[in-house]
Amino acid sequence: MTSQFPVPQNQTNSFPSNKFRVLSSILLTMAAIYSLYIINKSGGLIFYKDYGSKGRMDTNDSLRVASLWHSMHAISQQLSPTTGCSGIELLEADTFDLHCFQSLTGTKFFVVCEPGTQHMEALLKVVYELYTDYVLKNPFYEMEMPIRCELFDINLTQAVQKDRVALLGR
Amino acid sequence: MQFFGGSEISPSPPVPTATGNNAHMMYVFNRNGVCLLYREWNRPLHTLNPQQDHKLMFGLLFSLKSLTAKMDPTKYHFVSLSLHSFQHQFSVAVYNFLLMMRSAEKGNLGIPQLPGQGCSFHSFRTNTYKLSFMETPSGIKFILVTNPRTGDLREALKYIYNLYVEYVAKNPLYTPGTLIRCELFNTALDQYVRSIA
Repeated sequence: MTSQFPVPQNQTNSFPSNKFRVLSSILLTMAAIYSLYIINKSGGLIFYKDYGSKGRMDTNDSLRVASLWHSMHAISQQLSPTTGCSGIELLEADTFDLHCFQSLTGTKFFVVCEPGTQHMEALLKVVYELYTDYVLKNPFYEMEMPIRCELFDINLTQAVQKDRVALLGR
Repeated sequence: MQFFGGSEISPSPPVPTATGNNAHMMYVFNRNGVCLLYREWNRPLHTLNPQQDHKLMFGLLFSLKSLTAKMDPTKYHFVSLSLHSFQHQFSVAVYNFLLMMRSAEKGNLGIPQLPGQGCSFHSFRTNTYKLSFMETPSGIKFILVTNPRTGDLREALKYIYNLYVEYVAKNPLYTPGTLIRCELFNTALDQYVRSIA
């Protein structure tokens, strides 16, 4: 009888975890990160993921935006008043922030997030790590081509989720 | 700090964000892309001749504005929700119209936008400099290039705009759209920039 209908031993014990679940689900809908792009060294979009921004871009627009960003990045280096400029790292707009990280090989990772979101550089480094682990080491992946790796997708989702939970702790 | 119709320069300039002379240069463009003013305080590297440099800067700002308007994540969500509920030919036409409206509102890449229209950027940062940008309703663009560690300069740019209004726009000898050659403006600007950055 009792094994068929297990009754929770202590109601108060389960409460905090419920609360946490509710809080984290609220957090997930809050979307600190709007979208993530990866572009190859010639400006072609190889990965685009949208995390619930209201105006989702269609494929053509995301490709255009990615290659436009590639050229803006290059022009910003030309306009530097001092030597050793490596391009835009952070773009602050009225409704979003764009953080960009360029790897040594010229692959650019950039994330669009809410204005004032912290620790985005760290997140981009994590994404880069995942890229080297699950994309570059994938024997079926062709360089500079769009990323279609299941393991990368899974781990990326986890990393972004973790980032959001970390936000809760602040 | 008021944007319009200030009869005098606001008495207290914004609080300095850092000390020392970190400002590199400043550009003022009108809405046609003519460089009205270029001041340089500390610029060791010149990659292009001045004319090319101004053109490249204006082009960068133009494209970045159109990029940010396109990327704006807070605009438009109602159209994409309800495609599957449309059944008839007529509804598809309405849907297409809404789509068209949407792309018009968000701006297509490369199509110029009016000042104040769409989402704009106010600064970007690289490892060697920070560029702060402000556009007035009349389409005049103020660009200040400073040290990358400088804080938010939006208030500072508004103050510089007030200086412009006082010393340039109100100068009876100044013809709008021509290069700014006002001694008073230059001195006030130099002094102010030295104090902020």
